[in-house]
Amino acid sequence: MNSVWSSIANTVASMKNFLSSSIFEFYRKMLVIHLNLGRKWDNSLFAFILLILRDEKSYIRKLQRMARNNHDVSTLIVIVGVHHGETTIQYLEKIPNSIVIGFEPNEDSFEVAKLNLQRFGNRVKLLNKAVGKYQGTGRLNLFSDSGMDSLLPSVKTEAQYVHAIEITTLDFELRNYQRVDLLQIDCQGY
Amino acid sequence: MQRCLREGKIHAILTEGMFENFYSGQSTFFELGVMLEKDFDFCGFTSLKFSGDKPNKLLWVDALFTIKPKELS
Repeated sequence: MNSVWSSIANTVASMKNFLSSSIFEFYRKMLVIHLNLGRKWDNSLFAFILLILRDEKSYIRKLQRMARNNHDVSTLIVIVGVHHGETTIQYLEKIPNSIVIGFEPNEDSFEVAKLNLQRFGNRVKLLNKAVGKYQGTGRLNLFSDSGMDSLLPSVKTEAQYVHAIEITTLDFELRNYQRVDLLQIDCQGY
Repeated sequence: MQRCLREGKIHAILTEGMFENFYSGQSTFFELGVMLEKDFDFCGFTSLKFSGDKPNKLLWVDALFTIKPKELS
């Protein structure tokens, strides 16, 4: 009988521990459980359960509301890894007083992004640089899919080209700005 | 970025976290999350990408962290 109570107490303690951990820990455990379930659980169902709690859209709505309340203050969005400007366009269209500072080290992608974003005029400042830990030059590994370009070398496939690029730091580039409303980092594992 | 974080200049971060070991020396999502949770609240995933050919193989996620969620509500 004691062992039954002991196992109940242990279960309650572990549930309490599970629920009282941070949200990040909760998600982490959910992921670990999911990945251990193998084929028994459908990926799309799991993704739906996780994404139901997502905050991206509500955050954009909050940014929009904040933008309406502060006509005199621009909403500053910094994007590291603009690629062709796909998400930059979304931000600029959905948040009218937003301005974007974007970094894209790949010259070809940078030119495409410049074309795609030219209609937004001076609301966009594009820099043909990578963001890193230091200011200087570095080597960008270029892959067949330009969305995979990275300062880091791949362990799976050889880079098609290695291109010399300029590297800057966020501390330097943002030194004259008081506030960044959103920093989006999509730079392939770096 | 360290100075920006110290000064509380950055109010939200939307970042990619990778699960697949594609790059040498890459930061995984959990490494990023643990580091960012010191200054930010984890709000949730904004997208998840599973491998098409291998079941339950998670390739990457995008996650949102905010520093002052009350100010924005």
